[in-house]
Amino acid sequence: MGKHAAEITIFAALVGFVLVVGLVAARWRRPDSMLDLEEWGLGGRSFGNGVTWFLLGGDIYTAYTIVALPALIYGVGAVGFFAVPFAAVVYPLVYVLLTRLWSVSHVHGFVTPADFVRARFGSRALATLVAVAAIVATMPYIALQLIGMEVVLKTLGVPTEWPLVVAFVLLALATFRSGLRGPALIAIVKDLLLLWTVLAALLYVATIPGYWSGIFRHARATFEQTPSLNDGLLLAPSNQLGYVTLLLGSALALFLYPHALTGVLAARNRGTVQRNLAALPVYTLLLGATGLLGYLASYLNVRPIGGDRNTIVPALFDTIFPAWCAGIGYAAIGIGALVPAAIMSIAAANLFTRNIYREYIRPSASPAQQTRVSQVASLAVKLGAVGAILVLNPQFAIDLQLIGGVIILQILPAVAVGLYTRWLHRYALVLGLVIGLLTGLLLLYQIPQPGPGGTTIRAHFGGSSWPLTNIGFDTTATIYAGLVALAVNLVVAVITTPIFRRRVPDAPDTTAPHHYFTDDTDPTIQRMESLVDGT
Amino acid sequence: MTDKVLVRPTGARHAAWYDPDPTIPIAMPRSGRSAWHWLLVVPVVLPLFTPLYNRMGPSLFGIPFFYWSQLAFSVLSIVVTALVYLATRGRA
Repeated sequence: MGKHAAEITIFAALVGFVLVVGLVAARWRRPDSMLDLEEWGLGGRSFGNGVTWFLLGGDIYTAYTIVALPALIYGVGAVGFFAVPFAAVVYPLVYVLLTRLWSVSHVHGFVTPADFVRARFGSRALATLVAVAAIVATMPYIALQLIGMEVVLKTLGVPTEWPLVVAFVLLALATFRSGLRGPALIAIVKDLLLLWTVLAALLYVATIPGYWSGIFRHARATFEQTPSLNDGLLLAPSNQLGYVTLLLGSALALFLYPHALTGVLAARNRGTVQRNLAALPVYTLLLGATGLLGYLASYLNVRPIGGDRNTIVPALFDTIFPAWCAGIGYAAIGIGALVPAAIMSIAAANLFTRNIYREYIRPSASPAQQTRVSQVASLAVKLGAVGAILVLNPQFAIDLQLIGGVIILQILPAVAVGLYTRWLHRYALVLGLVIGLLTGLLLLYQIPQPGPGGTTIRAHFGGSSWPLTNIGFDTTATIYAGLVALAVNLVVAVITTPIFRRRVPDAPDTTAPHHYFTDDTDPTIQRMESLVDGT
Repeated sequence: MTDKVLVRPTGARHAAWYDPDPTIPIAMPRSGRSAWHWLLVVPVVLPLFTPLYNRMGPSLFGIPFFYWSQLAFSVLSIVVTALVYLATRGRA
């Protein structure tokens, strides 16, 4: 412990500080009553430009991203860089969609994407499927954040179990009390710490003779020594399809995740959503800089701790920073785990409350009862994630997260296409979703994990890049499994729509075309709680 | 639905807003569609063509083209999205 005393002190102090912030956040812009799901779960839909920016930034640029992206680039090079164009493509991609979703959710009081699907297609089954898929996809994402925290604790040389439990129990209490206001405030601290850390690392690069060119020359030489053809400073010809489909698939998936949508729905008005989507790629520059730190680690011969490649970033901080600055970097990662974990648990809890509890268990639940259920559910989700990490192999969370990405893409036809048109029939959407899920699982099952020297570490669930040899192409090229499953899903939905429509008439759509363009200041705005609540 | 209130709301408070009397002429919200939105296709599609940027040179501050060009894509996203926002602002 002696060696890391200063780092541990700063890390513990900062993490402790934000947890206190999270607890008192309930008093921030105190609502008349916290016992309302729109207050607890969406911060009263009142967040302006700044808070929304930090909330979405905390949502998307998570601890795991900060840790895993440089680790991936350290390990394989160019292929790992896909996260950067993904985070550049995603915002213009969803600009129009999310503006529409914000408006229709504001008019109808939707809290979850499944709320929207329920109203748009009038189908309880479809809404439930969407909610369950979203919850299942989100759970391993929370566990993944714990891994981000774990690698920091590992680097500090402290036991990983009890500090992890303490931090997450405190976080669970803060979320229980403050709802979305908690992570919104904490996210501000996280981003300041992260910005500080990345700038400090870039400053360090400026002290290296030759700056980046020396670092890249070293990385190139390192990759040339490895027998693998898939690593390198550039993409191998066989990697390009995989790279593009993974970046596109990830971009399509990102705002289908309920926690990202929670950040959007909590915004005050359409302009706040739009301005944030224009400005959020600034984070991508930060992300790219963080990714390149993987090459810096390689240049400085930093070795991962205990063979766990994900410790490369904290190990790098330990090498290049004085203790106090490394402590800040660790805190940035640690808090970067707490923020998304809190938002994800709130989003999952809201889905459970709105689309399962109220739909099947207690349709007459009052707003206060719904909030209580959400609070308890968020608690359960977080404790479940801690339990899963402590009991199961962390690799399991990473595998489940890969599957989660494929699962969440399958709600795209109902949610994203549904925002534009309700031409697709609800039964066709259900069928497409189910077949898409099965296809995705089958493809993932067929993906082996290659080891060094042509060996196979695992025969199944070894990644998300599906080899095209499976369909007879004589190539080493791969394609992102999630995108293939989504294509199957869409094709099924489109083909079966006319067939179902002939037999089963469409259910009523309670949204109207102008609901998709309403703003908070629009004099014609109507809150249609009566339609949503079925009263 | 007996109450007929037409109030300008101050935010997302959840007091129920009822349907305004359909006979009261209200300004229909504009459609919100705009040709400007097609501009958003550019920053989405450009990064999908790997041959454009899968090369070492020209480098910038010693960073190969592959890396800095993809960072530049995020700047392009900012510029295009901001442009679309400014051009369509106030139209709904």
